[in-house]
Amino acid sequence: MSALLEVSDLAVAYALPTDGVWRAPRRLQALDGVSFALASGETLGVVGESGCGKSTLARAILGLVPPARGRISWLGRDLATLGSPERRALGRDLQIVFQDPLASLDPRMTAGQIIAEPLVTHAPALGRAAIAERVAHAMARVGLDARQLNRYPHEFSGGQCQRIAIARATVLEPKLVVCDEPVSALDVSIQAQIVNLLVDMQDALGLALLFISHNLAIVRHVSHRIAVLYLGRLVEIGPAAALFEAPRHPYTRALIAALPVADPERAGRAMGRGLDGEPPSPLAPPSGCAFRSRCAQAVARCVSERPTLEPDGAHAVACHRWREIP
Amino acid sequence: MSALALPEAAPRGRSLWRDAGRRFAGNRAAMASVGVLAVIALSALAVPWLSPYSRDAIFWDLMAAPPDLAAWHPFGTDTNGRDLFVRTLHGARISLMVGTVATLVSLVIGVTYGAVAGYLGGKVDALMMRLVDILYALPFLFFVILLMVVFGRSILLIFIALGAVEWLDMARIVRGQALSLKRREFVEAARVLGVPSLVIVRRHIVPNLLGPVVVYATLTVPRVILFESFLSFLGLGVQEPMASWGVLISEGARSIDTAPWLLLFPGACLAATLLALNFIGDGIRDALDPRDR
Amino acid sequence: MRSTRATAEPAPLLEVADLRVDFATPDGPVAAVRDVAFQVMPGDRLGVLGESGSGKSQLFLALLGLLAPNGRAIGRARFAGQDLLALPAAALRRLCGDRIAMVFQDPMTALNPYLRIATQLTEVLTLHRGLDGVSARRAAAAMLARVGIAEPERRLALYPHELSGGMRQRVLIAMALLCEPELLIADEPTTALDVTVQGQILALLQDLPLTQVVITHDFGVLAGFCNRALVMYAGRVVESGPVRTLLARPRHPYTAGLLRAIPRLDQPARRPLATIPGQPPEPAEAGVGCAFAPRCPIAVARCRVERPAPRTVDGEVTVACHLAAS
Repeated sequence: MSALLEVSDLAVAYALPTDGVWRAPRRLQALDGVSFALASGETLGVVGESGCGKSTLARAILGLVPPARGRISWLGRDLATLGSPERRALGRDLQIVFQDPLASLDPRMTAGQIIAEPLVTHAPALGRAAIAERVAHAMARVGLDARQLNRYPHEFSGGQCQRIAIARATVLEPKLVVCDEPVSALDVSIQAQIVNLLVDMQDALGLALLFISHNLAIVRHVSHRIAVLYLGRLVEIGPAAALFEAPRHPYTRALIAALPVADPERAGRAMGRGLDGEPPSPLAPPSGCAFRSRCAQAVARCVSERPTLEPDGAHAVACHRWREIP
Repeated sequence: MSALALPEAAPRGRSLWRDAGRRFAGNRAAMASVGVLAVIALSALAVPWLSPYSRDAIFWDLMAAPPDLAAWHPFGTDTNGRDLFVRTLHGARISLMVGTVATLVSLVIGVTYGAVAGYLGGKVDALMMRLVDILYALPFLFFVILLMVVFGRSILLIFIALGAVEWLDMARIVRGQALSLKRREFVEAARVLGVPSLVIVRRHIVPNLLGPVVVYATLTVPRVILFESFLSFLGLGVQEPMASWGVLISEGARSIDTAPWLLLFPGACLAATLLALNFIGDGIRDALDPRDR
Repeated sequence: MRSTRATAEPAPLLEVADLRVDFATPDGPVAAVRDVAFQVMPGDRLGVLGESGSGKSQLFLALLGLLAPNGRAIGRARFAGQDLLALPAAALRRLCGDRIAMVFQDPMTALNPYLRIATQLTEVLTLHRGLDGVSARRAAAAMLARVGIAEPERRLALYPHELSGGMRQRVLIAMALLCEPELLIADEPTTALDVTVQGQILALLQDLPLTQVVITHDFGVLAGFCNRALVMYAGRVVESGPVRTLLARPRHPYTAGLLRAIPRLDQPARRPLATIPGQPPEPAEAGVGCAFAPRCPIAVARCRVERPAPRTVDGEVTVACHLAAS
């Protein structure tokens, strides 16, 4: 499988309004040197908590924010070299599903018009009848009643809105769909439906998915490989099963340990076993390893030297001490 | 795979405009105002049927005569012996026409300009808004007088002059709305889809800012009418023998001691129209308030 | 949940019976909560589980007199001998400041962004306890320390947006504890927080010697923190009982369905999750029969026409289902 998407040393920074007239502008380093590759038909899960940069990663890949450093390649071509028309044409193959289902749909358009928009943009020659047919087909594929196509987003529930968003993202049968927290805003019983739908669509259409979430249990359920972000840096990446059975980075271990468990005995013991302290502010990341301020295994080297991603087969970790920690 | 349903069989959805329409219909002040405005507008259109007299007919024996229903002078006559009722209704025509047309002009120019500036952002936006700022700083009155002097007085010129001023405010408001809409997720979704910028503005931005625009436009109409009346009052606007409410009020003010009805009737009509438009504008704003989904 | 002991037992701290909450809407009255009955004994940790539309938040807002103006609560709610629903507004407010406290869901919106933390904390003390400025500030600092905020004096001077999510939640808890309530009601206290910080907040709540009610949709919180649970669906209580029993042997098909829908680490990945088809009903859709019947995998004809009444099973568990095994 050839690489669909290759990200190397990606860094994104936001300029913040200055404190005073004479102060230098502050920069928030949302992503700092992230590299990975995504193959066709594969799901890469991206996990992390607030401030880790996962949403910024999604936006950078889709061209919604410019990178400060690094390269994003699609099918071997550097995205930065593409002109606007080519960038827009990429919309056929590279799509997104957002977190808030209702906000991602234009409130003045009907469901049918929303799902038809990609067709109207990229395949206008199809004609109204053909477009209507493909819209109905897309709605059926995501489990929506095609007779609802004249309804407006506010008339649907959250789960249904997300189905409309997924229909819109897949109507052109793209190669990659970036899912930015696609189920976080939904009820638990609906989350399972949408997760199943995404996996089904992946199998049916051969999609690659970049699945971003803070919910490790769901990420594990849909991903072939998982990448863990902390404060804009990639701390661990590897096959999902290996990552769960033998997590190497202390942060990954903490995330797995903090997973809610519906078993009173294990949950009772797990409580309070979360990490101490708060995630540091992205404005002032700790020196050396970003995680050292909350890591029980931090030593002097962790303060002075920033760890690089060390590959070990398919599983890579950015930690000085991962071999030594039991 | 289920059978593909024909689009015609799908039930119509409940658009946000329909919801707003229902809410507006429940607003008594607004609906009453619509009624008042309708009466004034229809009367203005139906003048030939409402009175046998023309705008210019002079009744030499009835100069500045008080209202007399029996002789078909419900509003009386002015100092030149012309029937005030007919002149007031003609004035309604002019005022409503000026108000609507100038507002429409300002709407079209302002919405296009503001939406493009707001959506494109960056240097283009800065340049476009600086132009607006400069135009804003020009003293309007001098501009109008200059136009009148150079091109002579015509009703068309008044449209242009008023529209040329009002679009600035509209552009500013629309730009602000466009700036905040730009960040909404459904606009980002359209960008990711690869929709070209100008199409995004047309398809996504403009329909979603129509709410505040409609409210603002409805409140612009009374402003324009008032301004036109002011110009006419000063002698800069519509001229004799055409009648606009400003002209009539100007004449009426001169005769307030001897013939108060000359000021009363046109003044009352102007006030009623302005009040009605304001209530309607408020009603639209309340109806469009997306407090409930 | 009446105990089967014959000897005299301590009186319940909160006892609710026949509670109904209606909202007047342009389309007619809508019942958000119907026929709810439960007890909270002193020292209990009651978990209230439900999804959107279940009425779990409205239930407690009604008890505290915090419903929207078009809402109305009918029924009996006795707290320490007084009927909350019968109290005049001023008396209810006094009671709520003093003996019952509520921690709301989103720390960012529950705190006034224009006031410093110190002001918001001392306001409670000066109003309810009549303390002067200096003692109130001292008490506020002491409380911040108690909820685990380091350098409390410095934090008092900050505005809410200058604190992290976890800290804001601690501030809300501190505000609730200032008047030493007997009952603490927390609405989704961990939902807006990172998973590694959730454990800290739960551990904090665990240490408090109060009777607590936690409204949540997270089974992990239920498992680790609560000893009893209520499960709500469409405004009614469908199951209640000790948490261990509920998790080990759920009697109601909705509870069982929810438990199955959560991805678990011991399940194989990328298999379809067991879902509950359809979605939770809107409060306005009240029909005959069991509200869950349209989505229930074991529903029979009787379920669609006759609403099941809650009945006690096994002494400790109450279930509202025709088919729940005894």
